[in-house]
Amino acid sequence: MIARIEHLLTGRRGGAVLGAIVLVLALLPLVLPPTSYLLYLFFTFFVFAVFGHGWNLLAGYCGLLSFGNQAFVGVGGFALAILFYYGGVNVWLAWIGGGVVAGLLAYLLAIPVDERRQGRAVWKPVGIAVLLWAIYEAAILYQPGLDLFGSAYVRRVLILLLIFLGALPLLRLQGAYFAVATWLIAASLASVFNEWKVVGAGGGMQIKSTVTLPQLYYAGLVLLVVATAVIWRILRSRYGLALTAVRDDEEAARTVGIDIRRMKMVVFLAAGIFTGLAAGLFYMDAVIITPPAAFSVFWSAYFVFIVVAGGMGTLAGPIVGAVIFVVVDRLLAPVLNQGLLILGAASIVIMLVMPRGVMGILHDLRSGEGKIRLGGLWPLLFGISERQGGLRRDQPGVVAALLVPGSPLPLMGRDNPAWAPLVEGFAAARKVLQAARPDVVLLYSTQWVAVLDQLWQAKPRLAGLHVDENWHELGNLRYDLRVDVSLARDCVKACNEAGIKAKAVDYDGFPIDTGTIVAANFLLPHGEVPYVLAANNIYHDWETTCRLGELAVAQAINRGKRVAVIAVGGLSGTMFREAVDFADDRIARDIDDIWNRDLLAKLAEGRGDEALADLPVYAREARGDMGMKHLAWLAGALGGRLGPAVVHGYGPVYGAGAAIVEFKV
Amino acid sequence: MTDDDVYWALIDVANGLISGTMLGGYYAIIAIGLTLTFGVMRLVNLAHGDWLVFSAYLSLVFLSLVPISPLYTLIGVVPVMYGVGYALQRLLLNRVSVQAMEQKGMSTSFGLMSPILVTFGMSIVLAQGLLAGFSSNTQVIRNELSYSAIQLSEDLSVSTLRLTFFCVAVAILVLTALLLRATHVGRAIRAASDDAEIAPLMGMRPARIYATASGISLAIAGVAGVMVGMTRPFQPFDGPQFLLVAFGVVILGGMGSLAGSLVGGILLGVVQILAGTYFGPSAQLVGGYMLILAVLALKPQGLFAR
Repeated sequence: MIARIEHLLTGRRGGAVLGAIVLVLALLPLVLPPTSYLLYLFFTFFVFAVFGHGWNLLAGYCGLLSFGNQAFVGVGGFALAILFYYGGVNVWLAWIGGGVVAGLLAYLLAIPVDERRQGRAVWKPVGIAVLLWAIYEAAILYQPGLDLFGSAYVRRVLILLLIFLGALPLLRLQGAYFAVATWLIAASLASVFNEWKVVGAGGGMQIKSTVTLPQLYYAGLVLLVVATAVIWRILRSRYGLALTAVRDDEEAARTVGIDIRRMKMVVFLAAGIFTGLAAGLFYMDAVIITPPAAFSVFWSAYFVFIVVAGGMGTLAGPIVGAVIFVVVDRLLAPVLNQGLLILGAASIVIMLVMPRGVMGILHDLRSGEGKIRLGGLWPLLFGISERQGGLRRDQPGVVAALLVPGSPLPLMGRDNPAWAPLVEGFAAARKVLQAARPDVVLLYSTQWVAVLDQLWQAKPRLAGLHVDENWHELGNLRYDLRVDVSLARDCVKACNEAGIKAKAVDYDGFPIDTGTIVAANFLLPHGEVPYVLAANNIYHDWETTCRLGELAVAQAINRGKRVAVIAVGGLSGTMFREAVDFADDRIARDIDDIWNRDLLAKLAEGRGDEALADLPVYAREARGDMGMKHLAWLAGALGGRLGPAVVHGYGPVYGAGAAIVEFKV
Repeated sequence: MTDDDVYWALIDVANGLISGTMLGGYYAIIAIGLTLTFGVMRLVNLAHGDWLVFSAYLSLVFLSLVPISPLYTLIGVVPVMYGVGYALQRLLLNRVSVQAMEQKGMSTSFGLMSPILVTFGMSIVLAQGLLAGFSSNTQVIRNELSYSAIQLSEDLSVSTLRLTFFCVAVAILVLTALLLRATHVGRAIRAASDDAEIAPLMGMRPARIYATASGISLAIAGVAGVMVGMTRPFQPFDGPQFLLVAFGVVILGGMGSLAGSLVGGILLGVVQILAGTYFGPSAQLVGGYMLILAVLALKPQGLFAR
């Protein structure tokens, strides 16, 4: 059912379903009384979901744990109050102004990471700022009316603090350093605001406006929709994909030339603005704003709970988390009278039990990995052991045969809707593989190109970091594979006996190809089964490659193994030559699409022989990947013919065609 | 400027230096526990300040049970806090370490965040728990030391309590250094902090070693808590203040360096007192924060890093 819901939201009609939900929410105030508590709960949900978005942007996508986002809450809220009370500005304009000021604070904090103002160059703007400040102080001496701060002490400390924050390279700090630095910044601002008479010095200010609950409700709804759309847009851009790469490995991301600083800056700015705007709505409703409350670290406790409960690093996480927050905080906590105590304890428990939050659990249930993640608990609860089936004597032979694409794009951009069919196809193929329980995987990737001999991998463990030659800006790929060395050596021997000159490669640092890594990461991410890896010698023709598949299976059966045969390669081979947004990925040429569908239809209808016979035409017309030799490996392994097949997914990878096909054995 | 003006300016500076140094000793006690857990486990316990406040309340509870001098409550507070630290590490923090999180299939970056998030949650829970148990009224541990001072000259004096703390801080530093250097437990802790992967091969159990280190850390926080309670009034929500001070000291002195925490404490103390003398009381706080942020910006590995 979860799969169905997710499909409903992310599938082709996902936009329409989400639009319908928003429409229902938009119509809600028309049917409810304007002071309805339900309306108020929804308003709270909108505001806190936006707060969650702001925090999640930093923690979930940049790995920056901020315990100082309350600085944006306080500054955004007070800017609204000052503009409204002293400036006499319309409250909604003042609200926007509050967001702008919070954004300015974020910009101030992010400046020194700007590429152009690195290192020593930071002293120049600081010098200019100090000079301007001195001029301002001098002007006040002659014209006291120019003093907008109302206190010499607060003016000096606040300006000094702001200059100081501008010079601080905050975004270069990491981990606990960043966490405590942000906390310190919020604490410093709090202590200055506490002394400041203009903002009521500790007693705070009032925002006595005439806004009604339905107005706040609509503003909150619009803000949430806009924030979600903007973040979605950021994440879907090339930058967004790179963001996750940075989070997972900053060093590696830097080496492939991702402009981390700029990206962190954009994200920090967005987080500041959204948090400031949400704070404005919150305080329009609350009316009274005081420095101790607005700059309180308890805000961070709320943000942490919302994002951790919902699922860190997911777009829907903060929204789901905000729902849980409203339920726990507004409905349960007043009954128990210990809101923060419950939220804090719940955050800890969630980190222990379900560190990926509700979204993580949904994801596991959907991809059928729930059992694995729950580990020992599952068999304890249900008395089922995954290994029980292993007691039966299993017959050696081919137990699974799969064709999968080797492009890294679906792996590195799992959230891109254009690649969803392939990602889903891989998930289905993974299930097929799990059900087949192979002892070894025989894998042939068109991307491991050899020239002289037929190469077989014979190093017991291959682990490391790989950067794709074409898609390096998307970050790095981790791999950790085991190799069935004795079987690989059998294959080398059998090859040489059959007259195909072959060699085992067994040395450190041998480049592992992207296709193999992509297949391994999707199909057997935990390194469950050892591999035999065969290279694609570019001088080998169709027949020779068939022989390779055939003799590899024969050697495995000799050793009594259940084998899964995997061919890694694409379909039509025309990629885009111009820059195309990943979200708009499609098959580059319509004619390719037709040929691909024709081939897949033949396979699915059990006309494998016909497909094989027409393959030379297909390879020529659709510019098939490597002459479709990966199918030869499969055909050879399956005794010279392709049986009926199930197509689990078909889609584009930057213009080229790709499919996940399971061949029945 | 008259001779009198110069004299008073010098007295101000001297007073700043002396009280700043004494304050530094007090800051060092607050920070030693934090620097120890960081040095050994690379763990920044964001609830450190809250445990300190917790110990002050614990001391109050002991005092309400038996009428003794506040310093004797350490006999009860220190073992209890050691037990708390040991259990906490064993039952909670070891389960959210980077290694534990990676075993759960989480990414390294998430693993690095998880202990920070969990200790932050703990900070919130502790503060709220103390609020529920003791209300938000300020409390103080009454004692006779806080009213006496030692006169150094006509216009210079040192608070007896602060001087005592300075001596206690130095004593704790020396004892901790000796413990790490000369005892079996200490050597095991150092070995585990040097290489957590090799230590088990040598027959050590990192889970226990970490728990021991965490126990020592909170035991020292217990001492600090009682001392803090004797010097100034405290409330359930004061924890983060102490954490920020402790973290600042640790940053100034260099993460994981014991001697650095004394030097860093003195530096912070002197800067705060001088800022307070010349720019008014709230500059004391802001001045200290800015010093810490400046070091974070310019030399994040600390002024006296190894």
